[in-house]
Amino acid sequence: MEVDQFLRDDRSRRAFFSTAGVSLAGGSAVLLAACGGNGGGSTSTSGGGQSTGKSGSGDVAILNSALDLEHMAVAAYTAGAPLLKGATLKAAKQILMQEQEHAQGLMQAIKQMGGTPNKAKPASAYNFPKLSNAMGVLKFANNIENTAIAAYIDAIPKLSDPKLRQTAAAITTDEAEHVTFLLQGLGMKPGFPDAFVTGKK
Amino acid sequence: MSDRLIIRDGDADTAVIAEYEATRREAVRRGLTAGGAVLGAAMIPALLGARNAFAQAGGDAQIVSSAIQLENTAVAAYDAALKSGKLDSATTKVVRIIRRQEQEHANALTSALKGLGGTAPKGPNQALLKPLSSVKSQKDIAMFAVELETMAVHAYYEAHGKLKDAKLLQAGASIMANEGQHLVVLRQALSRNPFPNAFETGQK
Repeated sequence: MEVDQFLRDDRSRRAFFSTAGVSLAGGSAVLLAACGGNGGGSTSTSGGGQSTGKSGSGDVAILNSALDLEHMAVAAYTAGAPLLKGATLKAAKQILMQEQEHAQGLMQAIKQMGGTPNKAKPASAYNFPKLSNAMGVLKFANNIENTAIAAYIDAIPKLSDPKLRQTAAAITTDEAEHVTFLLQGLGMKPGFPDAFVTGKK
Repeated sequence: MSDRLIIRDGDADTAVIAEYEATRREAVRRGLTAGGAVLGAAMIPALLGARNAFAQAGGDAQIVSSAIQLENTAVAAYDAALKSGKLDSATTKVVRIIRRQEQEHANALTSALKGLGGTAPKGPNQALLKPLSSVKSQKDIAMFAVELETMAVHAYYEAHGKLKDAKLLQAGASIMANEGQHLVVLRQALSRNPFPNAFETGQK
C-alpha cells in the first residue's frame, strides 16, 4: 500500500499501530497498556478534576508500550533512510539515533522498576506502507511522530512516578521538534502550525 | 547586572550557588559568551530567578500562575523583537507566528487558572526583558529567544514533576512541545543543530 493511501485508510493505520503498541481511538492515539485493563495505569477522581495515576503497577506496562512505539520508529526511519539524500538524510539519521536513545532510556527505566523490556520486532512484522520516494518517507514519519506525541500525552497523567512524567514530556518535546523538521521538508514552513502540540488530527 | 545579584536576592545557600554556577556554565557552553557576552551576563540571573520561581511553586495554581507570567514575558519579548527594526521580513513572519502562539498559551493557562479559583498575574517579568534593550542584531535577538525558550522548556519539564491535575499535565506537555518547535527554527536561524537533545529538558 502506498503511503498516501495508508494515511487515508484508518483501518490500515489501526492495524499497523496496534503492532507498534498503540491503539488509535477517536482520532487520537493511546498506548495499548494505558487503554485500561492489562494492568494499565489507573486514574482516580478527586474533587472536581481527574488526578494523576496513583498506582505504580501500570508504569512498566505503559513504558513497554512506549518502547514498542520507539522500536517501530527506529525500524521506520531505518527503512526510509535509503530514499533520503543530503541534509534530509543527515537529519533523519539524527532522528533515528534519538529514537534509539528514547528506546534505551525506556528500557533502562523498565529494568530499574523490575520489569522486562519488550524486544524490538523485525521490520517485516510491521507491514510498513510502500516507501517509494523521499516525500513518502517524510509523510509516513510525520504520521508516526504525531501518533507518538498523542500517545505520550495521553500516557503522561497515567504514569504514577513524577520523574517518568518528566521523561515522557521531554521525549514528547523531542518528537515535536522532529515534526517541525518533517513539516519543513514537506514544504510546510516554518513547521509549527499549532500552539498546542497534541499529535491529533 | 552583577553575577552576585541572585545570591544577594535569596538565601546564600550552597544549593542556590551551585545551581547558578551550573546555569552559567550551560550558557557558556551554548556559546553565549562568544559574541554575546553582554547579553549573556545580563540575562542569566533573571532567567534563573524565573526558572526557580516556577520550579519552587507549590500547588497547581501557583505553577500555572508562574507559567502565565513566563508566557506573558515571551509575548512581550517577541513584541519588542518585532518593534526593534532588526528583523528581516522572513524572520518577522516567523516571529509573528511564535508570538501569537505564546499568547495562545497565556490565554489557555489564564482560563485554567480561573478554573482553579486563581487570578492571573498581569504583565511580563521586566527583569527578563532587560537584555533586549541592548540587542544589536537579529542574531542577538535569536540568541536571546533561544535562551528564553530553553528556560521555558525547562520550567514545563520541572512542572511535570509537580502538577497533580491530569488535564494540566497534558496541556503543559503540549505547550512544552510547541516551545521545543520554536527552538528548532531559532536554532536554525543561528545555524545550530535544530534538535540536539533526544530528551528535551531545557537543561543542556
